[in-house]
Amino acid sequence: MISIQNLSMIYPGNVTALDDVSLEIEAGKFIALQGPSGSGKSTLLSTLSGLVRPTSGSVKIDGTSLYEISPAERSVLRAENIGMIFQNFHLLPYLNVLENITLPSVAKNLPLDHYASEAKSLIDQLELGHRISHHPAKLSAGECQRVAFARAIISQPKLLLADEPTGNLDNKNTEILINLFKDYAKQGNTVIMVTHADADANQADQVINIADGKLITS
Amino acid sequence: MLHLILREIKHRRGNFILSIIAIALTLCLSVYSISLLDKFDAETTASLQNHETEVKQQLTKHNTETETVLKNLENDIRKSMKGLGFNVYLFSNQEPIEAIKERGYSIKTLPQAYANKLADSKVVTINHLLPQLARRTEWKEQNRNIMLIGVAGQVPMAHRNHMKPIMQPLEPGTVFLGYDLHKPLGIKVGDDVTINGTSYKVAKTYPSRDFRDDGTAWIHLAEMQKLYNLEGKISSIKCLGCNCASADRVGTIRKELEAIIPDVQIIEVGSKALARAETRVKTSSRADTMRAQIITQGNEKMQTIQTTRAESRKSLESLNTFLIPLLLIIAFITLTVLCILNVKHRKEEVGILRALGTKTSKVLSLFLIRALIIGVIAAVITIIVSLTFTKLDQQMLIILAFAPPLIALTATWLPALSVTSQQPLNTLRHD
Ligand SMILES: Nc1ncnc2c1ncn2[C@@H]1O[C@H](COP(=O)(O)OP(=O)(O)OP(=O)(O)O)[C@@H](O)[C@H]1O
Ligand SMILES: [Mg+2]
Repeated sequence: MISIQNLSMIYPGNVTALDDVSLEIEAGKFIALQGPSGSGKSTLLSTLSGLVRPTSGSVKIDGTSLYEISPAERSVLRAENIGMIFQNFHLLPYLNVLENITLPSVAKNLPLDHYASEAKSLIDQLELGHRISHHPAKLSAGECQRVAFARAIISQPKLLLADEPTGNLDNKNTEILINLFKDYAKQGNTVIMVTHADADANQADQVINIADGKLITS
Repeated sequence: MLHLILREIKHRRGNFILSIIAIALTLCLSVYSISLLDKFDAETTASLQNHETEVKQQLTKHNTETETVLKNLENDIRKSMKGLGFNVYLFSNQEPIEAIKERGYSIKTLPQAYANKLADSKVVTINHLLPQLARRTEWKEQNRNIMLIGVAGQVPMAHRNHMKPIMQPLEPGTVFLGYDLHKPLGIKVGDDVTINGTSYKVAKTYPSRDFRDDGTAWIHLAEMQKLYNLEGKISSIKCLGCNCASADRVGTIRKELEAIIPDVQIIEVGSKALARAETRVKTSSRADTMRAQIITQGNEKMQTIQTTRAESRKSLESLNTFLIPLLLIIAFITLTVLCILNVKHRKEEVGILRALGTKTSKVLSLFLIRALIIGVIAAVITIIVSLTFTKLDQQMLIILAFAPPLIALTATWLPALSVTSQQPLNTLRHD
């Protein structure tokens, strides 16, 4: 599914965030990425999603080398194959819950309500039915993260990347989210979740540890 | 996508409305400034036209006034000519007219037959013909110098019947005396008076008329001719009541006479009609001068209006050439600032859209379409507001329709491009 080879990322100011990382990830796995702060977890996720070009090395998703295609093709690939969740949710403040969830349609040049029916069933599933037309400012952190999750999987991407998705959540909401990830992986998709919490990591099929930009094989 | 844009506009309507106001306000001010210039031009034209019509009116008024005065004069002349006619003397052309005038008569003579010749002719300009023989002489008995004039009765005009003679006929052996000749001597009609040895019966004494007539004695022409051995000769023919209505009467009469008796010259003697004719000429020339004066004064005033208004216009124009670009620059800067603010607020949004796989061009178009909406609304507002205080020609309409979107797009382009061209990650970090 994902093939990472000799991936290095050196930020301006000679900050080495990733140092010659090579990794193969199979499809249908729920993977936890753990490591101390500043170890390069977010950087690894960003390079996997094509949001930032690595200094060297390659990332292949289903055989397509992410940084050998044009930015436009990369955008298309991301829109079709990758869903993303962030610690800070990153919902659009001016769209309501339903619209935030269907937002990925815009990237695919589809009308905003293209995924409306899927979104509605997801909203019911995520127990957000009473919030459907609310704006993010009025939602709790757990609700926000469920909306973000729904948005990330609305187009059924094969790869779901989550950067500390539970960082702002209480235990109950964390549990809900982890279970959603598990379910999503079970459907044959790959989920990579960055986390600091061992409890969360332990629920994953596989835990990858990273320190100073290097993988620690356990 | 439009849905997304409209939602964003609603969410950040302050920025949106301020952007529209920035463009519409500055453009309306520009249009207003231009309209002031147009208004000024219209005022200039109106004031010049006003002035022109004023001058024209003055001229027409002057012309009609002059015309009525001249017409009245001419009527007067015609009337007095009908009544009085005017008088000319025919003299021999052998003596300069100045000498004749100086002496009061001509020493050169004309054949008396001329009078008959004229009378028999079809001459229409002359009514009464009085052949005369005038000489200045010493009245020895009274020891004084007098004018002695021999007159015949009036010579009847052949082609006019029953013309009433205008002068009392003078019988041979009688004399008419001017005022100075009878009054001091106490002579009355019916008295006998001796002039240089010949006795005459006084048939008429004149009241005082003018200095020459007052010192004149009239005797019968035949007796006068005998006295001076000038039988068949006369010194002048007095033509009374000439009724020629044309302006150059003497010329008209001369033309007629020359055809009949070529060796005469004509003197017109003072009459009311003459004075009026002269007045007429004077009036008409004075009217011409006046007319010219009105025109030059009008032109001068016109010039003054033109130059002063041209100066004011120049300063207004220079204000415009300075003000309008300034306003446009202000609009542009304000819009750029507002756009930078908008972009800054939407950095996260750009990151999200990019993370979701939205192409850069599409994210950019979100900003540009928003700018276009701002521009179009601003254009509509500008045009509507402008129409409330000025007229817009087609060119101006086109400018006002296209300038606001253009300004909005240019102001948006760079800030939007700067945020959308960043690596998506950067826009998502540190929020
Ligand atoms: N845009 C950037 N420019 C320069 N340095 C960066 C940038 N992003 C990250 N870094 C640096 O790269 C290193 C790795 O950062 P990264 O965000 O990947 O770590 P992390 O493991 O996600 O940390 P955390 O657990 O705190 O989120 C850090 O030293 C960080 O300061
Ligand atoms: Mg991180």
